[in-house]
Amino acid sequence: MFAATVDQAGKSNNRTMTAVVVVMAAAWNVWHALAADKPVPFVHPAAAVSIVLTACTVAIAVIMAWLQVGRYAIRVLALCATAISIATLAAYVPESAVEEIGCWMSGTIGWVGVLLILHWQLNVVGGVLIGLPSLSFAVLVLLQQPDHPMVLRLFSGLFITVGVQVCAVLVDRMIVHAVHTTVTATQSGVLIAAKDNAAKAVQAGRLRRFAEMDQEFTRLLADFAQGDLEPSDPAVRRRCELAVGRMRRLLAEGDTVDTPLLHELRASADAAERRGVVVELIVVGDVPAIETAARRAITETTLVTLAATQSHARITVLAESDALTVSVFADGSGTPLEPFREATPEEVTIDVQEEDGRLWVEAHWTAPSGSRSSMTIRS
Amino acid sequence: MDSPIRVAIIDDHPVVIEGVASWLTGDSRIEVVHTGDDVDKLTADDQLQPDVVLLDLSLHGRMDLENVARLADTGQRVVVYSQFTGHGLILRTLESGAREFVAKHEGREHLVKAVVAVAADRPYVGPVMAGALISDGGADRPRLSEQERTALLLWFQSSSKASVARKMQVSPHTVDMYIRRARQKYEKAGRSAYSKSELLARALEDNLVAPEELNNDTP
Repeated sequence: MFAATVDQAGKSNNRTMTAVVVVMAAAWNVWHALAADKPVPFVHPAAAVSIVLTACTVAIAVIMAWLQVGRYAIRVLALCATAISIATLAAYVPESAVEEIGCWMSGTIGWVGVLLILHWQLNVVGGVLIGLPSLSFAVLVLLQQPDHPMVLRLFSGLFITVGVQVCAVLVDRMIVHAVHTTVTATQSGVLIAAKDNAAKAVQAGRLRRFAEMDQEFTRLLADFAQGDLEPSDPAVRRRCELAVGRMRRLLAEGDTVDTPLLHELRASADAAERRGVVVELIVVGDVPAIETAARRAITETTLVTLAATQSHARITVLAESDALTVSVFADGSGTPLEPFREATPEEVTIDVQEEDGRLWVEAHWTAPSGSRSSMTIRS
Repeated sequence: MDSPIRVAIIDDHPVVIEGVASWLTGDSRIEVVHTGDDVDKLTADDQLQPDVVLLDLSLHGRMDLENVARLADTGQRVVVYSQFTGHGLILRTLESGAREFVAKHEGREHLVKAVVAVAADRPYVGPVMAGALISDGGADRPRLSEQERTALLLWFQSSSKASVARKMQVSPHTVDMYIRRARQKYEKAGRSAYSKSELLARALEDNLVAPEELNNDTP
């Protein structure tokens, strides 16, 4: 999320910078042309053609940027403007241009081009920064045929200008790389800290529940040892079955599976099947991610009902994207669900029907508003 | 129906054929006239003409819905009997022309009821099939009333119409009518079969469809 926001802001800034650069380039071109020896409105025809063509191209580019047309098209247009300038000015080169080529490359073409293509692929940037000056240099040398010292002066001027521009691009890449590295490191740190906190909380919760289960088993075994509990008593048997079911579920909660709810329901069913209850488990729909507290409330109703089942239970799961119903239909009686209702999260409701030796318990879950995409938290 | 219902069983496991034949012939209304593991042999015999074909969806390790379509296209009343109970598969089976779907774990009671109902061109929805119908999220699914949907849902959950009736506070007969009416809506929206007119006639006879609904093609 953070990285996406940073990227979005970066793209927006790039668009703005491109538009600003293009407008500045247009203004600079017009000013430079008009600031010739002759007063306005005199402008040499070749320069005038260059100005008009460049201005038209720039105007189109600005409109496209405003309409948020793809950056690729704008850059193509910007390069067209540059190429037009080169071609037109090369056709008629003022006498002073040969000496001022370094200034011309750094001002009119070079730095504007650098800003426009700053974030292109490095090989493309390198090609443009070296290719365009080389082209201009070749055109000027061929058309003007300057003397040897002039060629050397021209070459050294271009070399210095292009060298500075390449350095600027490299510095920019280093800054961007450093920023990305920092952002990634910060993100990783935050993520690791969050996972660490979550793991600690989960571990603490599991240790607490294991301690509770330990106490329950210790009490049961102590009562059996002292003869306070009668194994044939149905209430005692149910208490033992519940304890076994909860321990089985607690162990299942630690497993990494795609659908924890189904895994835990199967674990609950398994505990019942071990004492001879026939359990059908039928699932319709794709089970959504459900938080641990709600999941535990759902499986608790299933556990309690299965503990009260005599011989056969039908568990059905009907799942939708934002709702789920787990129904247990069984032969049996006496489901002490009232204590669990009080501790049930508000997104889970429990409906119990008991009649003619049949138990029908339904747990309905509805997704809390705004949490449809929340991840399941395993403990 | 005076004469017994003539049933053909197509399955590739002899033990299943023996068991199912035993279940069906235990009911005096049903006679098993053909057993085999090949749909082609059944369709090749013009003299056989069973009232109902009980078809295992997976023959010789190959899941083949085309068998359902082939039999339905020849006018056979097909009841699919399968261990595979994915709701998507059940819906595709019905779309292919099967009259009903019974899961193998649903047992004798549902199987016999499904065969008898289908032979009389009446709908029967088992609990597993009810679960598939309520899970149908297709754009062309029929529009069920609240009672029909609730009855299907509770039937899927409990497989006891008496319990559904108690929960809905209606009679078991009314529950049965809601479920059959829901199935009838799927029949109307489903694959065209030669006996569709018979299904419609039965639906009218059972008051599952009102005559004025017949002109309304909207599911």
